[in-house]
Amino acid sequence: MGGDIYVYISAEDSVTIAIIKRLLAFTSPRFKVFKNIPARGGEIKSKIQELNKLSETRPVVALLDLDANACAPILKQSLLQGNAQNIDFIFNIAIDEAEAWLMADKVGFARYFGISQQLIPDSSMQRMGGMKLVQELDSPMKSSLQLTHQIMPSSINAELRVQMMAQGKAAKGKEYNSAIVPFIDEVWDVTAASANSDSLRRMVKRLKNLISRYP
Amino acid sequence: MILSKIELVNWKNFHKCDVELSERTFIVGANASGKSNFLDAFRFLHDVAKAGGGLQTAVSSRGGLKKIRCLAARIRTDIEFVVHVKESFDATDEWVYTLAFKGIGGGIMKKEVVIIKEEVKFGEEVLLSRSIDSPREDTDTLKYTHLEQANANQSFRELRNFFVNIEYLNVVPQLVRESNSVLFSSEKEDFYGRNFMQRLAKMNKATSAAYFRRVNEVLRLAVPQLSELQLAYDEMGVPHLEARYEHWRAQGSKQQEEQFSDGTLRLIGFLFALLDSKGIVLLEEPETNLHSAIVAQLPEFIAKLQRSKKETRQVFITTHSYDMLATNGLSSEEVILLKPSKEGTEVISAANLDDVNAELRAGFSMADAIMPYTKPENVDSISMLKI
Repeated sequence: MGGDIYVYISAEDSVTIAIIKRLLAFTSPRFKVFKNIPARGGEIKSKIQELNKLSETRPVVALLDLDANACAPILKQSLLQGNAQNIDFIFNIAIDEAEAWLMADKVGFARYFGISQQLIPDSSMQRMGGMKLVQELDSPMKSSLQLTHQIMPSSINAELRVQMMAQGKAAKGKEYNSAIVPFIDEVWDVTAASANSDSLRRMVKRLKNLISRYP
Repeated sequence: MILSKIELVNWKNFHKCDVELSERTFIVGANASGKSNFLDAFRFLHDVAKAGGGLQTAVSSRGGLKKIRCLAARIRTDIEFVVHVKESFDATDEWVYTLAFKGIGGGIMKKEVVIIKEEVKFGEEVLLSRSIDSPREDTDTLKYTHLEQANANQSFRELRNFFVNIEYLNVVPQLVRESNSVLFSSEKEDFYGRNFMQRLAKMNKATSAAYFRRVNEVLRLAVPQLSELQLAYDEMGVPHLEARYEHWRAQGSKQQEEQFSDGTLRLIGFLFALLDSKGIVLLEEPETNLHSAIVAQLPEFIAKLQRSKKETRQVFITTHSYDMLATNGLSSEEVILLKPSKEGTEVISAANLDDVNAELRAGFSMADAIMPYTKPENVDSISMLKI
């Protein structure tokens, strides 16, 4: 086993940051976070060029949500603005949101959040705006919205329900992040979730490839 | 004149510090890393040199030696300042002022400090060198620096005046507003904006009018509903800041400083300090109470003001503000990072951090590059605490 690999990480919120950290730890104990480049809501999209350039000095692992964009490769292309993606720039797009990756571990997610597995959408092969068929959760709406508005209201865990359910016109609950991060850190089964999400599987694969380049 | 470099030994958080300073220097670090204490090193020099000041007062007003000596001080227990001052950044010759002192007394004896070494050099020339071994020096003469004694500092008066002109400004709106606050004391210096109004009143009329014109220009953009800021005297002859506050009545109404918002007062305070500076200006977290859009403008505004002055006027700014550090054209030489450790706080010029330079080259702002360093490792877990 080689030495530690220090990487930059960048993501838009504490949930996606926690996911990157968990995936790094899941892939290899050799991964160490060198620095977390701050990207405040939405800003990461405007920093892709800089992250790409920065990866010439040491690997950069970034994660952002696909959201309403048509398809991941097209979004990637447009954010890179025609520049070639550096080999050490591990640029990942969660389909359709990081929350979908979490829910993709159906058993763990349902148990932790006190909900029925039936409430979590099944995964299926779908086109997601591109040519290729990909396996992803079949959410009727944005995953986080489905989570806070449709799934959590029926949770039997009163504490988590209050933390995560949106109030008023907010999209998420007031303590959403602090409710979800412990799940990512301690419970989330990455292997099980990968079976339901091609985009998650690809991120793990990219991290494994990165490790293999630094023997 | 400019202060190009400061070396500190055992000063407050800093066991050892040796750092170069720029025309505009931003001091960043986590809470309690020592940002204010770093600025206090410059205020200390000012306090030693100023009229009615002196070494003993400068130490005792800070609560005595115990309060200013670094907790990491072990083998070496004295406090030392070595300050490098030049005519300008490209000048070759420099003044070097060294002051080292330690505590004496205790028990039934009065606790005081005594100078171990005081030295002034200009280029190669030694203008002053005194220690306990010098003839005609004893523990009584060594209680006073030559910096504070007019008849002893003729040969380096320039340097003394430079220290006297160091200004610290942290307008505390509550203190400006409550002029009869128990904390008010006209004896004290204007550190917290207590007698900010009196100071404005004492200014030369033409200068003051020119400053008010410029401050009004900024206010018109930052606080559009306030206009015509001026100094007005009440029936007791007490000076007040007065401005027109526009509202539904055609004429608007006059408001005085006690009605101004916290942000407005702080902005006015900073603007006057910058305009009126005769030497180094120390600004403590100017972002407090201000809208982030105003904060984002401050670095460039400061640079512009500096350029407008005939001589270089250094500004040292402590900040936590992302918006302030995200400004364009901020070079890594202009940023000093304070990094707490078990052996006191480390003082690091961002120019010496390879990754920061690499990130700047990749196109990131200074805020992106330096802020991760100022954030305690597990701070994100605060919201995870079970309460």
